[in-house]
Amino acid sequence: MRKIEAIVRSEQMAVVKEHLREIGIDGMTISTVSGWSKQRELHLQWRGQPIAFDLLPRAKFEIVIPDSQLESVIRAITRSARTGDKGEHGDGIIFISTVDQVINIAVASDYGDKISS
Amino acid sequence: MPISAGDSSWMLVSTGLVMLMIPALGFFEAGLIRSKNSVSVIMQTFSGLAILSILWIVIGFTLVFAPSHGGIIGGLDWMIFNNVPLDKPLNYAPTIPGVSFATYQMMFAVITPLLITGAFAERMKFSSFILFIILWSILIYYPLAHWVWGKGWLANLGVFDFAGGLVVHTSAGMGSLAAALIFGHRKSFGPTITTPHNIPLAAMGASLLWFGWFGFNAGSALASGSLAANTLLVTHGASAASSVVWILLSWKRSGKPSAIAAINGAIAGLAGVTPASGFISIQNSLILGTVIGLISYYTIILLKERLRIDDALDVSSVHGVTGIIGSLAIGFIASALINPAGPNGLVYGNPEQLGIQAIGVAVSAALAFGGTVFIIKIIDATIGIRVKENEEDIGLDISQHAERAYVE
Repeated sequence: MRKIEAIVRSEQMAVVKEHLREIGIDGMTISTVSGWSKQRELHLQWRGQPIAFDLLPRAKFEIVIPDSQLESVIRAITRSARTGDKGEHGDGIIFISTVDQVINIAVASDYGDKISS
Repeated sequence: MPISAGDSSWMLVSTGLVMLMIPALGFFEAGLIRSKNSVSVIMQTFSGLAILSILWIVIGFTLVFAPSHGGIIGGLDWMIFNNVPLDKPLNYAPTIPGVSFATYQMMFAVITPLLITGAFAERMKFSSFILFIILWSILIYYPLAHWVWGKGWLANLGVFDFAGGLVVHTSAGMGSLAAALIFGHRKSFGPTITTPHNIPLAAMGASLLWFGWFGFNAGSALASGSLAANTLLVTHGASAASSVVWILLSWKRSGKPSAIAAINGAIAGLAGVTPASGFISIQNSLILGTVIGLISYYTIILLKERLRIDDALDVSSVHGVTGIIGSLAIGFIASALINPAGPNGLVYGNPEQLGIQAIGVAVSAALAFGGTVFIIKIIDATIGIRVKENEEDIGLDISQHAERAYVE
């Protein structure tokens, strides 16, 4: 089983969620986070003074899937989170790691290979 | 007649009450839309308050209320408030200073175009917005207000509108319908987009609007005393009835009673009773409020769900349709026993008033709808009206104002 953490632009959150649902992922955890990388900062103003804001709004998806679904999930996320066809700095990043175990709290049993989150 | 201290005090307070409704409108709308656009609507209403106040002082008051030229528009006698009397009344309000009347009316002129922000919320360019509200005031509000309240041709026909059912709500409502049709819907218009981001803020806005409406309606008596007292009661009753109707309808429709329904129902009732508020009894007002609640609720379903018209905050249903209902209701339930200066409706022996009110409704709706289409097309052809798609995605707060509503 693999864990996917995908950090995308916050305005893309609904789109990414829909794409994931369409490929059969219906369990996930989404958090509202802030972040920055190489994207230029946000230039805002405060009483007429320009300020550079380097914490940009992002949405973070956490999904756990069987290995077999890994490729389709990555494809769904990159397609839906990318700006336009070629993408831009700040579109986001996906971390993939291996998961040891997933336990359903309600039933307190091991999910084995049939999980999402 | 001599200046009355009692009347003058009440009108000063009413002026403040109606002014409060303008930022309150901003809070109400901000709470109902997504957080990324909430600053934009505060900015539209607040800057609109400032800009349109100046416009009124410079040119608005005189065009609406100066002695009429052919019943079409006033002259420039009182441009920049020149010669508006401080220590004498105007004929419109014989017991209060002329400036007091003029200042009170300013708040009506300011709030009317700002109601339309609800229709094009979340997608209008700010620069176009400024142009829009100025042109809308000059081409639609000032003429219409003159025709109905400034001894213009609709008043001469016998059309009655106590506090703005035609001049404010029908005009803004039909303008909103036109705007929503031309703008087209917001990106990803659908169930996810309509979630309010801050219901307590919306409720605060609605509460301040209800409070301010006492000045909007009862202040239109232009005097303190029994007419103002009845108008305040009638206003309150219609709002309460409409709110209850919406609560029950939302309960039936979604299985749970909705706070958003409660506050929107109240606003619908307040808007709808506005034209009739100075002419009807409290008993009739409860009935009118119920009718307004029922019709406005189902009109939203018709316009937004069946016809898929993205009037973002349903101004055309909550203000437009209700203003029309209330204006026509004068033709049914107005009573000269309540207000000797007003008409009788059909129920009280005068079937002709209904036809006259219908003319007022038709003219107001046509002017507002057609005029709004014209204004938006002109602005769109010159500087454009809608923000770019990525600006709409990021949100107007950042893209139009370089500000964020909520920062850690």
